[in-house]
Amino acid sequence: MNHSHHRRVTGALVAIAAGTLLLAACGSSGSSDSAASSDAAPAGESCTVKVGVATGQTGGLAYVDVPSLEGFDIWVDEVNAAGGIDGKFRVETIVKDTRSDAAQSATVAAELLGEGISFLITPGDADPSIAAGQLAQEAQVPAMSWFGSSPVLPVAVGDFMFSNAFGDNAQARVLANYATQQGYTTAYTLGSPDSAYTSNLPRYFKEAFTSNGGTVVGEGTYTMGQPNFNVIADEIKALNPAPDVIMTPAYEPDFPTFLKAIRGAGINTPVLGTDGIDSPTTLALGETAEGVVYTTAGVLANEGPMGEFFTKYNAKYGKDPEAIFAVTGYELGNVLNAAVTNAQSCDPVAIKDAITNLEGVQGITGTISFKGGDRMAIREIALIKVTGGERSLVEVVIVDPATVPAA
Amino acid sequence: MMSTRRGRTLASIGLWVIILIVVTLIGSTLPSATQLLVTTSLVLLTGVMALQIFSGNSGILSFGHVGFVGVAAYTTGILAMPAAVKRTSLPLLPEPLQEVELPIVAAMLGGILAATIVGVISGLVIARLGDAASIATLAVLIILHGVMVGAEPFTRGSQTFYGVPRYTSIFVAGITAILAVIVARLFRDSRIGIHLRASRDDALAASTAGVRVQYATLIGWIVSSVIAGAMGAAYAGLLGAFSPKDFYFTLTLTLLTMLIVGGSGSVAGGIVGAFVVTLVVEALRRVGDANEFFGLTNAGLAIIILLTLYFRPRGLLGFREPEEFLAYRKSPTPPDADAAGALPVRNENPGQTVLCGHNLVKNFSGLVALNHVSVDVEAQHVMGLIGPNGSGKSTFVNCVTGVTKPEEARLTLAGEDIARTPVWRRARKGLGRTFQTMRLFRELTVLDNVTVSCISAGMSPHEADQRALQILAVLGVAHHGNRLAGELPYGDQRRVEISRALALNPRVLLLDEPAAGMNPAESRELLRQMETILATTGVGMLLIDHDVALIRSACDSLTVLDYGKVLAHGEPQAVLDQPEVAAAYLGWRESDPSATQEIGATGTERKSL
Repeated sequence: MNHSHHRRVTGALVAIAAGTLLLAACGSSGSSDSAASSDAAPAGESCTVKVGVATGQTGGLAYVDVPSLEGFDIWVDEVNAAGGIDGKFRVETIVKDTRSDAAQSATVAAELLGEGISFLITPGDADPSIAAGQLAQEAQVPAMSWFGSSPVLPVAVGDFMFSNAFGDNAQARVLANYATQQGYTTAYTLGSPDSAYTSNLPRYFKEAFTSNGGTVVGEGTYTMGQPNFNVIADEIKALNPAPDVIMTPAYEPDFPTFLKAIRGAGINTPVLGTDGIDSPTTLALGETAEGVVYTTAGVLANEGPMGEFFTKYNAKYGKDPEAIFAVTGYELGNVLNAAVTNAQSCDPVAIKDAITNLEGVQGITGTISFKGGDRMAIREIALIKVTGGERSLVEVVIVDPATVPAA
Repeated sequence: MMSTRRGRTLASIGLWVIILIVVTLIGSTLPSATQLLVTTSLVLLTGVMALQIFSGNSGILSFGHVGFVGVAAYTTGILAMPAAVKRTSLPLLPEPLQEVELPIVAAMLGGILAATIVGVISGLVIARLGDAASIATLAVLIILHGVMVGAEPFTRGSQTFYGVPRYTSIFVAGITAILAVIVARLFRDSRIGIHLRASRDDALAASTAGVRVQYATLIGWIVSSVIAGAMGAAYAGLLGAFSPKDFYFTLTLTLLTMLIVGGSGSVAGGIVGAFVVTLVVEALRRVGDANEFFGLTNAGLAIIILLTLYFRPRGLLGFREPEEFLAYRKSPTPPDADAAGALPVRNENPGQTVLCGHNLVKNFSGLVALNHVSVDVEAQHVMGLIGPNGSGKSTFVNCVTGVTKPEEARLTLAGEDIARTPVWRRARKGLGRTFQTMRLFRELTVLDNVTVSCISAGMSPHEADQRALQILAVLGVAHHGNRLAGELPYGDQRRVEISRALALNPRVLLLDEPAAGMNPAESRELLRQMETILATTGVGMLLIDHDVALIRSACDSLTVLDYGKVLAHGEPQAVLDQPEVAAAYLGWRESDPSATQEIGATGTERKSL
């Protein structure tokens, strides 16, 4: 069980700290309009944008791929009701299940590419996205992962592969900068080799924190699902100099166990976490979790622009969205909308060029850009502090791609 | 052509190779998505063959083979990856490997070699474990997964390993699958393969038929690791990018499902399983995708497994190859008229002591089963061993053959000390035995049951088949040759068991109640057959039976055991006439002396107690 990040059990989320995620100036509705500047594409002939969706509707990746597709479908309905993207490019989706398997993802992608799609959507994880993306790359069709956050993903495939997620390296940069701003100069990191997410984030953090002038004084590792963190607590206690801050990408069930172990051992060092702990479980830890700061894409709350999305989602599915991926899936629609509008074409290469140059596309959680990045979405990252059992927003950051640690 | 084992094997290989060539050629003309599907299933078929070689023949379900697939995939990937790509994707790779960029075939062979090395090391452990081996294979998977995750400079840890050239075309996959099928089918009917299948049905009986169970298991494991490596080498070039989780439980379950649905016991079962599962999954997926109704494949897969396990627990094709099934009703070609004359002479001098068992002591947690028992067996003579139930007769045979370890014993066979010799080697040195409760290889044909021992005696499978048929003819059951041993009538099963013991070309035959369950006519027939065997081969016999008539007429001398001690020993009639023998034998220690009379007087009347 090692797909990236978001392990959140986004059950019925208490509508919390509303204003928190009112992201900056994002007042406009979720449905898109493009702020991107493109090479003055001539107004194209009307055509249909065929979108192939090769994602894990069943299996281990369903937790991200299913809600993502739900959100994306809302966008498709909306845009087609308005006559298509820019009023003339209708969107047609062909959905196929990859069963969350890498080899099956390739087979399915090949089928979709055989049907002449202009755009391929791949699962929210690196392996199957790369397997599918390689075929898209060969066929010169742009591919985008729902929310695969490993920055290796686009690098491994080539210039036609994108991800709708911010990279784990960007997340780590945000945490490192926060730590430096707080005046922390020494840090301890705890990672696990068991997944790319838990092994890479401490590495990225170390690189970013060191570049800020900080020092990582200790690097611990754990096994995912490990029942006891007392030895690690002792190890941290014995560190000299003692760290100013502890950073870990651990999530359930490891994060709560770890946190209880160190607090129980009398270690009151501040703890920085990542989007994997953005779940009710963390808030339910009460006093133990007080003051924990973590990064996340956005928090589901029936408020503001996200409130509008809640209404649309409810209208289509008769329930509230349960995962933030419903929102990010819809936002992938915003990205496609902007790209096709700029390209004024259904031609895959033109769409790919347009995505590469996208800047400031308005989504629900904030704006999304690709220009100047490494084909990972440059999007807002929220820093949340657990205060009194609730989330409180510290700040919302867009990371300068130039400062992000290398994949 | 189909009448010999070699002929059947070649016919079978020829047929499957033609089918796979046709599949590959047709596949290569299909649109790329369908072609990719065929390619994938050919690669999976290679993995199923690896599992079939080990699990199908040994009966030990393996969860570990996907670990070999992973080892080979990573190794092939590292060897085949262009040096330029390596600098980005594997920056921590040690210097010499950074520059390596082998041609695809060499890289694939490298991957297979790596899997084989891991196979040899893990096999040394697995082969010793017997019943616990299946769980241990799970440990192999978990350990190899851990190694893949941990060897970060080589594998990128849990991150995606990328940059492998995607060289696995449908032709590469087709050739790999064809080679895997050939290896699997050849292995099945090789000496080791036949021995391994015998141990699958009954490991203990196999070792008394001269099968080195651990060795056969080890070789099966290694050969299958080579084929699993071949799958890994092809899979790497199919995916191009992968991580350790791609070589874990999901792939293991996929391969096991294919094998179990098709039938693990035969190569044909593995092939059919791979194609049936692929087709069903594919059909369901297309239906599901067309209607945006997902999860149909998983449900369908679960249903296929349940249906298979319910209706055909051994898989669609069961334990036998189709060509074996075709031969099922046909009697094998009978051997020359004088089959017995063809039996080799083992002991030259009648009356010479060939087996000495002196001072055997065996306790079962306080119960003295054997209390300084000594029995000798002479060439071309029959030593009878009788006594009440629980008197230690079978324990004596078990101690002599090494199945049970005695506390004390001096054992020599033809003058050679065998007290510390393992069971299988005692069998090969010349101890053939049957069991009180029959232990045939029930899923093997009658012929194969006997062939197992002939192979132990040093013959090639082809010679072994011919010799086996001769021996079966001596015992009068050759016409059953192609049937499954477990299906025969009771009396015939006994004869097959005796044939199996005789096929070791033994110096001594230890027969534990061979006539049990036979009617008087069958008993007499058996007696006659035993006399023929005795006369032609010069074998010495130890005969345990309750049939007094049989004992009297068959034995040259007689030993009586009671409560683990030798009660009497000598010429049969004289021994049977002793009052204490009758008392002990019938349990009438203090009473009716007429019982003695009865035992002594019983003529040809059968007295089975």
